[in-house]
Amino acid sequence: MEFKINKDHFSNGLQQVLNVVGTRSAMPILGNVLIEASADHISLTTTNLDIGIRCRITADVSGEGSITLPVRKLATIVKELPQQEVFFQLAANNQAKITSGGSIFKVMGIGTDEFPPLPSFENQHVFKLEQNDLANMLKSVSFAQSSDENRYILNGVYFNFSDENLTLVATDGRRLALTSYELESDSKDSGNLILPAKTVSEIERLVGKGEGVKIAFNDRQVAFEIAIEDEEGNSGLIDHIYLVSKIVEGNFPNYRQVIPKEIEHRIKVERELFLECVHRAALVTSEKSNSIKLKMSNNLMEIMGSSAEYGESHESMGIAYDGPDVQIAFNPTFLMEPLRALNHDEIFFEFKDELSPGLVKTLNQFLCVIMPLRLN
Amino acid sequence: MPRIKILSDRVANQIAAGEVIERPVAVIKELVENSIDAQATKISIEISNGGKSSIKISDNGIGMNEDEALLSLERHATSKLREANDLDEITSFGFRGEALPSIASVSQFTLKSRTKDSIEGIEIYINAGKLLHKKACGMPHGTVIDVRNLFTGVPARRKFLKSENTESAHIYFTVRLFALAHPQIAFELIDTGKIILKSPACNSLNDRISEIWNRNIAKDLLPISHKDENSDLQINGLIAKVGIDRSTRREMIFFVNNRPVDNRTLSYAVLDAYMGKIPKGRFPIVFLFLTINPKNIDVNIHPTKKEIRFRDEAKVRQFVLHAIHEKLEASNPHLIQKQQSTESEFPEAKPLPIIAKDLRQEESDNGENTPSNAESKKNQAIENPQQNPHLKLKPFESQNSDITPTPEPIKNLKVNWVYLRTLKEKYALYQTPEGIVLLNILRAKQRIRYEQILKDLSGSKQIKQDLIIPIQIELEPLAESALNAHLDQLNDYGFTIEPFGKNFYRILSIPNWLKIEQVKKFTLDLIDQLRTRGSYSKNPKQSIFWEQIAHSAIKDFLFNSEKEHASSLEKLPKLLFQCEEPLTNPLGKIIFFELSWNDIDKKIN
Repeated sequence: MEFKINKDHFSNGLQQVLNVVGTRSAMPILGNVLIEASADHISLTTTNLDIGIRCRITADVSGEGSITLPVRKLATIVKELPQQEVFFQLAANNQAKITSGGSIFKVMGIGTDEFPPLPSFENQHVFKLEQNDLANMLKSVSFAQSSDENRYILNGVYFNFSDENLTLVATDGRRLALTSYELESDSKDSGNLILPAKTVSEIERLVGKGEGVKIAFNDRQVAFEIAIEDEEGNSGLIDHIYLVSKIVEGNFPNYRQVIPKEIEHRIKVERELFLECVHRAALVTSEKSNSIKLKMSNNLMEIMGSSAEYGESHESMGIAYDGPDVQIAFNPTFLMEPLRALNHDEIFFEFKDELSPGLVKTLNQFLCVIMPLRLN
Repeated sequence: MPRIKILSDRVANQIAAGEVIERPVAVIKELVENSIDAQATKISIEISNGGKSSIKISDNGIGMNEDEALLSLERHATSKLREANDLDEITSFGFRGEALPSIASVSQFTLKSRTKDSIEGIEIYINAGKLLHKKACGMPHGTVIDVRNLFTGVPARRKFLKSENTESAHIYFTVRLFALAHPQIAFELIDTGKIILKSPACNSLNDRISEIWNRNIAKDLLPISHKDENSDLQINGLIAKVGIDRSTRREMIFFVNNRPVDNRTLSYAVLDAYMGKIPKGRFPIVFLFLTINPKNIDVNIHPTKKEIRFRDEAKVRQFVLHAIHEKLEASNPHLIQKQQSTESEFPEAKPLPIIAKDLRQEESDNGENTPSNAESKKNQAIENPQQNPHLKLKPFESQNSDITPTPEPIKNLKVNWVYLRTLKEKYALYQTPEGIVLLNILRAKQRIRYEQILKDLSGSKQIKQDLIIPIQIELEPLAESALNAHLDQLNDYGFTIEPFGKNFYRILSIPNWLKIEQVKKFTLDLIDQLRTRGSYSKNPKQSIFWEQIAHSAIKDFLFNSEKEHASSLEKLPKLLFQCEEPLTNPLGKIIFFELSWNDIDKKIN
């Protein structure tokens, strides 16, 4: 096994796969990256048994073969190498010899036969969508995921492929975010899965390097094939990045029944202005009285925050509204998070009374249900 | 196949003895109780070899005539009980009529007794249950019982006795308890010729305690006396001042109607009253005498009557808890000192360079420094300088703080602590007009957070966060009934919990301060608390129950290891002194210690 590679490409590739490797693993092999050299590229693979990632980097391969090396150490070494040209050679006893300019490293590795292969699986449903769409959708719901280990079902984003639609839902029990997207698909491919929070953040990190992404899943695993389009070859990445992950097993709660069916009052607000007002109003709130009040009256929305420690705040915004006066209290974070996650100029805010949830909505794709705070 | 037979009295007595007389101290207990029941005003106890060889108890009580004396040695002969109904209302110590025959059946037993009216006494000698002789004898009025070679003929029991020292220690302890419960009776305890305890009749419990317990303890105790107007409950006794604690429960002593008892209800009530005032795992000193209508207790549940049962445990618990809590609050030294807190008295602090090396040295020396530290306070106004290091700092703290939770006085409150730096990322170092202070940042924050939660709970407005998806909890039947009984109160405090089918509940909303990740664990912990501790009062100030909640809530309040910003550490003392108990964290651990300039000067020069 022998190849010549660009230092930045190598380093970049290692960065792509580094994240899933835990710092303390029970199995030493899981701290290693599998390097396979073939034809015109090398592939780098890591796994922590829950998530596995593989990417391919262009390289001048003069001898095919494979080895596993401790990935964090290797990434540090490659980053520090003095010259762009890096020569990689396999020596005896699973040692790798890395040469660049005047530096020579011999790095201890482990044989490839110990490395757990990334699973390949059958009976899968397959979908294709744009990376940008996936990125936006994930961003607009992922903030609502739960981190409560007792309710592990909620520790992720729910993907539902059905009726020519992909719907993403996340909730932590206090608010729920939902976004949907039209998708051409075969009805036999309908299905759903819960993508674990850790995988969600990995996907959010990896997408945006090209056009399409292919999602394949069965009832245990999901695979993402993230296409790479790199015209100038700056990154060195080629083909696609492949990510396989376990999915959260279980049934996601029936989110449809918690979404209010009837709309009582709806106002149109400028997203950024609304966000800024809420943010400012929340400046005086404290950890223990983390609440703000929204008061809607004739063409006016007032946003008020207060706490015993810091004092009070009052913001007002003009709105088009002629309904009765309504005052609702919310946790300001729950209002700000969906407003931040969206990129529309205008959004809708829907409400009914002080005991009913508020909704942040866009015309067709997004909604976020926020449960109110109640004063006893 | 053996046939069923009725046991002979002798065997029956030996069996009863197995229950009642398990070790020498039990003999003492039974006989001293008899003496007290016999209206004695002077009781003398002599033992040798830990009571194994001989126990002799003399009193000047009413005594018995010959017939009574003989009868008293029959099984179930008693002067204290006539019919089963009397069991409902037992006012004497003994009542079963088991003690004397049981003791006599396992020892060489001499009983001498004379009533005031008779001219001569009677002496009865019994060896292992067999009457050997009875004769007239001369003696002062009263009763003398001499028990020798206890457990002769019961080798099994003898084998299980502990060493002489241990048995003696048990006896000393029990006699002291009796002496405590009956200050009006003179007690004398002699072990193998050595006087262990001798106390004339005393006027008050406090006299008796300093007489026989420890003069130092007496100083650290507060008298308590509380009577419930609406019921028959009354409590008297002495309790330790805040900050005095022990590593064992041995000095938590309870008497119910003057009978020493072990009772979980009582000890929990006391521990709860002291919660947050002494460190976790330490125990206060209390000598409590509860008076209750005999109808409302059952003493007949334990062979040696060591345990009793209350008819209305919750009421007793509430009563004791409330009485102690009130007493402790009222005697809180910083309340007395409130008027004296000043700012002008202190000259403006002149920052001096502090060198880390000096500090280390001082740190290691703090143990001896602390006492003189407290003494050197110029403003020291507390009458009795406390003996406990936890309290050492009290005078200091009270000078600098107006402890009022309302926002207005905060402006007036000036804590003259100048933040210098953080040490080991754990301690904040402050310079004060008086010296320097090292403060444990995490503990200070815990205290602040804890009181915030408590304040939240006591505020009438509870902010509820509704849940979009209810959290389900499943409970076993016992836990369910505990939850059911307190459902309304929980719902008042920011939860909305409703039954959801058999053994299932669902949580529809949670208090705003509670993190959603903690809800399930928190709720289950809470239900456990409700089960073990029972009811609690509505007023959160006294509600130990809510303190418990706040405790578990701060347990998860982890110190974020990020470096604390200097400005927040500057504010920390001020926030801390707005707390009601700024000295200790909610688990009772000390938050800061101070080293005065005087001490530093002394050390260095």
